[in-house]
Amino acid sequence: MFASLKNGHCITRSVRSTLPRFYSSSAHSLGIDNTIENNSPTETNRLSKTSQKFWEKVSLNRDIENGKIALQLDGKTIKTPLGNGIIIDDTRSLLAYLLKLEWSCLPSLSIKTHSLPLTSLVARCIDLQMTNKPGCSPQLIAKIGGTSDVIRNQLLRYLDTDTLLVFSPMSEFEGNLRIAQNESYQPLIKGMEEFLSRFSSNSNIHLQVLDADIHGLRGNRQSDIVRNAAMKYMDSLSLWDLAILEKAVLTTKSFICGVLLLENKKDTNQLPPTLKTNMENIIRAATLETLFQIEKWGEVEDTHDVDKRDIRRKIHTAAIAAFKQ
Amino acid sequence: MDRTRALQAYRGLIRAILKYERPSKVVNWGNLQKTMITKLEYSKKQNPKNLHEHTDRQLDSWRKLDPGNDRSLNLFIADSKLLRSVLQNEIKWGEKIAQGQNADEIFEHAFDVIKFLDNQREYEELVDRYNPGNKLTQDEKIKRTANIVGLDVPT
Repeated sequence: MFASLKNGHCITRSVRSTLPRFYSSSAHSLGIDNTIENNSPTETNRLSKTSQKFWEKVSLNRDIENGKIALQLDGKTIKTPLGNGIIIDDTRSLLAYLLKLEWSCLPSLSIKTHSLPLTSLVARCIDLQMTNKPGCSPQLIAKIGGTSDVIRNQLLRYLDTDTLLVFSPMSEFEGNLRIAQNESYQPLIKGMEEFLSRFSSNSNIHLQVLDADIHGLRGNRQSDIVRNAAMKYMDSLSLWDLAILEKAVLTTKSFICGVLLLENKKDTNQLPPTLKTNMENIIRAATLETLFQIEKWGEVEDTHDVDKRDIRRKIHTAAIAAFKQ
Repeated sequence: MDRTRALQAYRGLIRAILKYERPSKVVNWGNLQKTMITKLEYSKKQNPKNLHEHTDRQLDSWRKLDPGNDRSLNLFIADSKLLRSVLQNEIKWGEKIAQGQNADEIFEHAFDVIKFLDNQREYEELVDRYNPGNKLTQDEKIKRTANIVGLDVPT
């Protein structure tokens, strides 16, 4: 939610204009707060502007009748950047506890954009739900980056060049990377094809991989059957889950990893056995090439060690938000 | 089997939360220490004729406090009651373990929470270590900038 302020994306939008290719047809990026200035008077915006602590006490207010829990500062419900209260179902009470922990453990000075990962994600979930209610003003929809259909379409693009669908050549790392990729990706791809075929009338779903030994360097695109099935899967998700899928996909650069994360936090009995996994394996699959690079060239300070924690905290944030008791 | 895993998960959770809370606790106690010392000294100055045995004793104990090295901060988490009630009454992991249902997912999730807390804390530590200027106040930054070119900020 503070992304635009930190990265200055809104200011440095590229002015390059070339003819769009198929893979750049709708290329404005996901997960970035595109608003130049967001002046809704909310607590989250105030914090992102002043980065100073302005409250004394964080608390949870439980509304037993409606089954909701509200996160409050000094007795007032915290609002998301778009002005919706951070109120979650009481079936997610562990999430509420962790949200409170996150706010009560902020240092008083120099609060950074990365200090509130859970709140950012939950705020995105809530804002997405609210902006997709009928009658929402187009201005608010633009602020969150488009309707849920726009977000689904953009997420679909990650399936074309999914981290788990791109194989490195045998000549790299004495073939070790390729062997590890085959071992870890192939069963997941198989399972994923099985999983997606549930969302398609066509039972023969085939994911197009990009193999550097055969295809060389080129773009990749999934067939319409696969795209339709993936779209149907995303339609079946609640908006809350869609926001979590988005977070996971953007972090791992892999649509498959996003689905794995979400489905492993739900009822796993429905899942093909090859897709049953844990967060650590998902992270390993998404960063396999980096792991081999570290092994060969050594760990670079201020890069690999930070990135390692970064991807873990992001994936586990998504996992915590996805979990329902 | 499940009981030992439950215990392990619960201990891990408490330990992760303790570590996660510690930096902000130290800061809070430091602030409290400062305000208490100022307050007590002020009240001493207000009534210079009185004896201040009690105030002196309090002042002493506040001055002795060193939040950065205080082990007692490691003994409790701020919200243990809430956490316990969430685990017992909402997630009902005790019941579920007793009935032998769904327990794997709960443990898995407990470890995910632990990993989140640990990695978030370590990430912030690393960012602070590699960007030492981030934590400085504006005045401190100006002072250091002036020092670089051999000047001092007028007091």
